[in-house]
Amino acid sequence: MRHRTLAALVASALISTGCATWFNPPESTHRASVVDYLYPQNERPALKPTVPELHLPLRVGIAFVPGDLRGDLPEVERNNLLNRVKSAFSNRPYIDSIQVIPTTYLRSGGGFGNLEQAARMFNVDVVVLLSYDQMQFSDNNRLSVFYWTIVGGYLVNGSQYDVSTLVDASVFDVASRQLLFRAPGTSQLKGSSPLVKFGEASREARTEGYRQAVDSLIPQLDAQLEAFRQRVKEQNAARIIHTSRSSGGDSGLAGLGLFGVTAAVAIYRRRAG
Amino acid sequence: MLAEHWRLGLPAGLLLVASLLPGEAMELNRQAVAEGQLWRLWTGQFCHWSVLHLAGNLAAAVAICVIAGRPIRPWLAALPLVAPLLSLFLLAAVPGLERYRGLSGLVAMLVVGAAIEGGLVGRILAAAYLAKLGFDAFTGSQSALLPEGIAVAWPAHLGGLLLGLATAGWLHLRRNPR
Repeated sequence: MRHRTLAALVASALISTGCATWFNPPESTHRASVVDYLYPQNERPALKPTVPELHLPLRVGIAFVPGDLRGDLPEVERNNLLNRVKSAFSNRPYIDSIQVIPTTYLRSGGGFGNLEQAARMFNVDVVVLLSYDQMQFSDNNRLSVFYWTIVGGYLVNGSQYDVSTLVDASVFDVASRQLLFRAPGTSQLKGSSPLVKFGEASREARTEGYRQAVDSLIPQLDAQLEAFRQRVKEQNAARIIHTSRSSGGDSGLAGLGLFGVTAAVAIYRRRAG
Repeated sequence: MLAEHWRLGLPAGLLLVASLLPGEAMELNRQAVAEGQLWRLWTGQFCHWSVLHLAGNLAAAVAICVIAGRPIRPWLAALPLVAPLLSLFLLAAVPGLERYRGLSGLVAMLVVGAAIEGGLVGRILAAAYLAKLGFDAFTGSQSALLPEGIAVAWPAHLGGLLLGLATAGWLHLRRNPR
């Protein structure tokens, strides 16, 4: 009898702590690094002191760097996030088009060779690579004591999560392999849920973390883009070549002066004669 | 008289519509035209990249009207007929061109009108304009009135001059029927 009681106690303790362990891994990290993608196996960057040549209006590609785990951020969600960035920048006159490059077109550790393949495939000159680093910490709070009642696992918010997300955009000129500029976006999310809903709630929090990080990235990227434009004007950070892809019918200031002067002469002649 | 008002109202209306509606839907866009959005052949010549761009082209058109006076009116009335021809010329002559906005191709056509109808001053304007066109084509110079990333479409000016010569012939035939 005593053995049975002891066995039941040990079993119940194992089950309850086991549940907590299975459902709440204390810490999980999802990471995709632009350095790991472009310079796999500790490959050293070859430094070529060249000034990148940018053909305006730019044809831009945007993609998430392939991460270690495929399931960390679903492709549909990746596309939604990339489209958010795309719609924020697509109305710029110096941008001809922005192509969303699905992660399936990029190889983990593919390097610049893979980036060039994708750029050729999507006919883009500049690629924005989004890398990310997301950490989730999970704990049980004091209310988790109610999980012992079984019902508490359904009703009491005894499990809490803390999700920190960094999304970093690096803008590369594919031809020269040069980093033009970069911008970060961050988010911090905290929340709690009952044990049985913890998986779903924390998954949603991770996705929301990416969304908020991308939302904070967009103004930063805009600011860095403006700073880069200034660097191009003042420090010749890149050579700008205007193509006729997007053109405007315009006579220019000199033409306007010409029209103005001849019109003034015509008025003068009419008044004089 | 009323008919003349209508003929002048049409280009003015086109300019108004193309300026008020979103530029993305009005511009001359090679792919969109290929997909059947044929109105862009007209509106692409009347919509602009910015208010400054529109103001610059309108100022040039007003200057031509001042130089040539009343005789320029038939030329203004011909703008809606010339606009799609100029768009087709651009699509054929500049294979790399994907998007275009601006009135200056039609302004170039009016420069021919100024040369014919505007006396000595009109001819001086046309000669100077021709020299500027050669300079633009040779140097690929940028315009301060255009937003960054938008190139000056000097072929549009060349096309406008050629269509201006054709319009001159057509108006001459209308005025002097055999």
